[in-house]
Amino acid sequence: MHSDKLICQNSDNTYLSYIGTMTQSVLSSFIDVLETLEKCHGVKFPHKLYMIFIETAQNLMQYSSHSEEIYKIYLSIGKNQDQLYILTQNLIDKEHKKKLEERLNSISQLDRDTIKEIYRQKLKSGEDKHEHGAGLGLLYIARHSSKIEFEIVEIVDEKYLFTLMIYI
Amino acid sequence: MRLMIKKETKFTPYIELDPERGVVEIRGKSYPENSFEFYKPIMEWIENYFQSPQKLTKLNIELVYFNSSSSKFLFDLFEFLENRTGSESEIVINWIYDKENDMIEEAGQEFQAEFPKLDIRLIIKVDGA
Repeated sequence: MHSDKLICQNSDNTYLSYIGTMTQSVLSSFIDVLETLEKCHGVKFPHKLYMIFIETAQNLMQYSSHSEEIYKIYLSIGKNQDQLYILTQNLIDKEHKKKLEERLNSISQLDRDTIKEIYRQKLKSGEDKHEHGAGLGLLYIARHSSKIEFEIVEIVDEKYLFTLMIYI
Repeated sequence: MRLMIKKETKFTPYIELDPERGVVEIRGKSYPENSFEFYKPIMEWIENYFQSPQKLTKLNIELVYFNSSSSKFLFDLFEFLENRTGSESEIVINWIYDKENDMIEEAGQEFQAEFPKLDIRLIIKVDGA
């Protein structure tokens, strides 16, 4: 699905950069990469990077499981002016665009305590359980990151490029 | 009731459910794509075990990372256990983590606040142990 439309980002430090399909085994290899950077290369990541990264990657997997074609995403972990971030890009259709905008716009209106409380309520009620936690995942990311930004741009008819920037 | 052991995988923790010793061990990373499916037999075992539990049941939970759907399992597990408190058998939950793992520490504190009737003990892992 138009993976040539993914736009690479430059940063002061890039720890991981990938254009490809996202699967559980790719995710676990990336975790190995991050752990190896810590173990062998003197890099220190906060623990929440791993937990936010897992949620982010598993959110991306949801999209690929909906797609019949090979579904490539762009993912990078880097640092700009001492700010660690996870950036993802993927192509979405109109239906996903609407859902994501609603979710992300409503999350952006909330303060951290409210997000935490909604997360707790959802955990309790079991809502979203069978979506494999898609709703829970975004709330988790919003709750534990320092800031999230997103952009959705139409690139071809009814196909949109979704960029999510998560500041750790 | 029989001993149940699940080997650790890249995405799922080592799990040992021992009815004789009254011990539940969950150790490692937990981010299966479908946590509900993965933890269903574990939850069922625990529910069966509590039909005639040992006098003391210990849960040693030592997770390095987990995804939000795994935390749903933990939430359900603790809710089930909290409903068992006050009966004859005692339940102790050891929530074990590395001292640098602030995320797991925070999650443990939140479970303590959410389930005040449960004996959840936060235990910092000793190096080399």
